[in-house]
Amino acid sequence: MKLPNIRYASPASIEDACDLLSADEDSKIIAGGQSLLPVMAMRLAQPSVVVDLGNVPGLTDLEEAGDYIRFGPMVTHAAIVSSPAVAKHLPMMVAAGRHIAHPQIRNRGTLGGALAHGDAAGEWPLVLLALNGMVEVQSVRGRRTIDADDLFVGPYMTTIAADEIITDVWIPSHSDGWGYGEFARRAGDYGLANVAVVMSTEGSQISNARVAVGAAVGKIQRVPEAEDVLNGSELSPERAEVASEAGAKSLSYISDIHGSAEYRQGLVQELIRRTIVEAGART
Amino acid sequence: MTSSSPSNRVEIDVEVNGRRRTVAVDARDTLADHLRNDQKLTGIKLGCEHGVCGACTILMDGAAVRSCLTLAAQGDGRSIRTVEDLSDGAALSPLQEAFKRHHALQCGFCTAGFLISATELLESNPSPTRDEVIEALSGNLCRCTGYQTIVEAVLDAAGQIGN
Repeated sequence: MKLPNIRYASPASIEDACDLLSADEDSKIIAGGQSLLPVMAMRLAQPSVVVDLGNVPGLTDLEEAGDYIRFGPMVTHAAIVSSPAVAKHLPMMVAAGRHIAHPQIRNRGTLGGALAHGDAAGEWPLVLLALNGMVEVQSVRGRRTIDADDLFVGPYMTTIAADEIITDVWIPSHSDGWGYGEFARRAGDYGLANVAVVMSTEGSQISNARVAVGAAVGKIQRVPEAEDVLNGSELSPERAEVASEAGAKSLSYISDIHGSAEYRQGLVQELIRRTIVEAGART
Repeated sequence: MTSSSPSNRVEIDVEVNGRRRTVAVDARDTLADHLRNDQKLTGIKLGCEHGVCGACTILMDGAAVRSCLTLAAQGDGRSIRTVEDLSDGAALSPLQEAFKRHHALQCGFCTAGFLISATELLESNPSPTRDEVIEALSGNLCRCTGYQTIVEAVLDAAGQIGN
């Protein structure tokens, strides 16, 4: 379908973009547009004004900044997947980014857009949560930082206010073990179940385990029941089995034409098990 | 060009197939709408109009993108190539010749999108493996060929047949 009638603005600075958002509560930021334009085409969104960040300078930075990698919000999926700094410090992002749709979408879609969209099946929200990142947002009311743990509250729902714009994404460089798993019926489709796991070891004991699940459960979320089984224990295939079973059992699942809740629970359990084993092998 | 006052008409400066022009577009126009309706580049096809089928794929600053998922206004300052630019008059490009040789099209609706996705691949990776070809073409749907002949054509154009 053709897009609904809209007005368009292309501000030259974040401040101007914030003014536009604050002047009209039905206005909406467009970054790469790979999620916004489909939902507009299907009339699931009809913003009055589309505010394009494409001409705001400095939003495509990707740099090492102390213990973090700092991303501008307009960095594309393709740029992340091919970045040597990301490959070195955040290899999970390379593995996860390859699951995002298709090359033509990855050439346009952006990190900031994907995080603000907050799709429960989105790869970047899941990765941000597992890697304990944060976003910095700006509005006419000022700037603030939101930890990934406080960012995702439901399907397409984040704690970013309608007048706020993501200006920076901060993700700590990781030397920890990591695992990423996603199941989709065809390559490039939205995953039916996505899982990301990070852990470190002290001696032979697991510590700081972060297990995050997306897609199957309708909301990007951590799985404390799985993390509790892992932390303080020694990693073994049996431990991974116990953690995945406890974790999968603790969640509630979507059921629809693509799969029953029971099926999704099975997928999540197996993906948690595999990603724990992968993460353990990398510590 | 930047503007902080919202408008339903937008002036853009865009280079299309080597010709640069300044045109006014509707804010709601996708790049596909503009290129097909205003610039009459109807080689671009609109199948799904929400980013699934890949028939509208064009090159924007050398990168293959969905022209149905890009606003015409976002084409401002960009350089665009469409399927119309691949041949030299009636002389087909080596990739187009390979499509012809391998019967890599039947109804032809998806063909422009496949040619553009494959062009981006071969420009960045002149000797792709079969898996790399399949990955590069994964975002384009064809309902006629079953894909095998398309993959063969791209590998042939890259001189990779038999590898």
